[in-house]
Amino acid sequence: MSHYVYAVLAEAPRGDAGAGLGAEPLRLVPIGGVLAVVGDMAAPPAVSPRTLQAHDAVVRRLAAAVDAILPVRFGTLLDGDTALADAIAGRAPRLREALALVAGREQMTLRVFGEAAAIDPVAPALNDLGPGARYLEDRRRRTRREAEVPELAPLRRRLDPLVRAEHSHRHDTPPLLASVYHLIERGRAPAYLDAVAAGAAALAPTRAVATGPWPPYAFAPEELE
Amino acid sequence: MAARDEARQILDRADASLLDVVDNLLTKGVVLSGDVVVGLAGVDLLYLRLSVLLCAADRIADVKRQ
Repeated sequence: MSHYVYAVLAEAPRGDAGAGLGAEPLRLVPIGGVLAVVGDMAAPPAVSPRTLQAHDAVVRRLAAAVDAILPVRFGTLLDGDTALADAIAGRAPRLREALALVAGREQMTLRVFGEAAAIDPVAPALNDLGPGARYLEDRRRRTRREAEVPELAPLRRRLDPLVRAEHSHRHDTPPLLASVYHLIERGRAPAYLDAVAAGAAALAPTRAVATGPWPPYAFAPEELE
Repeated sequence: MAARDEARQILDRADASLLDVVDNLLTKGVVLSGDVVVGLAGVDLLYLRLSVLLCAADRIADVKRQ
């Protein structure tokens, strides 16, 4: 039987871990100083609204019972105890670091809609540079724009006191310009939503739609080692 | 083929909250295995459709607010 992995925890949940999306009992497997939450399955679940929402419900239930949780990507089925241990042990330091970041916190998602802000033209002083230097400068500016989402600048003053960490993904497919993921202290979602609403006029004509709170999906380590 | 049809239906029927669930579960979270994506039929189609539908998420949110 294979192990379907729902989440990585820093500590055991308060109360019973409950059942998984297929009603299978959940188990906690300690590896490298973290706990993997797994259920036994023969095959990965089909992708459907029911299974996606059931998986999310399991993660939300676990999140409510612990201080720190890292959701695992949907469909992660590992073939037995050895594969599970191999998958987690090598990443344990990164996972512990990420668990410390998300402890007592949750995610808000901000979709930014509108017309893309123009990238500042290369400064005249740089016009004398060769094509390689100009390319690198342009790339630096684009990378900075990806990270900062300048269209959100009018909201920053209101959001900064609430935001503990941020990840952003630039779509540049108008009207959707970017998805921004904010990590906030648990219980601060109403204040966050109020801040977005209060800043709407200053943001116009750009629009921001906030959803959440979510478990901190966007703050989990993604890279394979 | 059934899996691809089902994947299409997920997003054709999606409301704003399901779009966020799809975004969170299929493009975020701890990656423990490179087999995850290839092991789920229809996920490639979901990624493509998700990108398109997220562009309309503000319109969907407007409808929900009214």
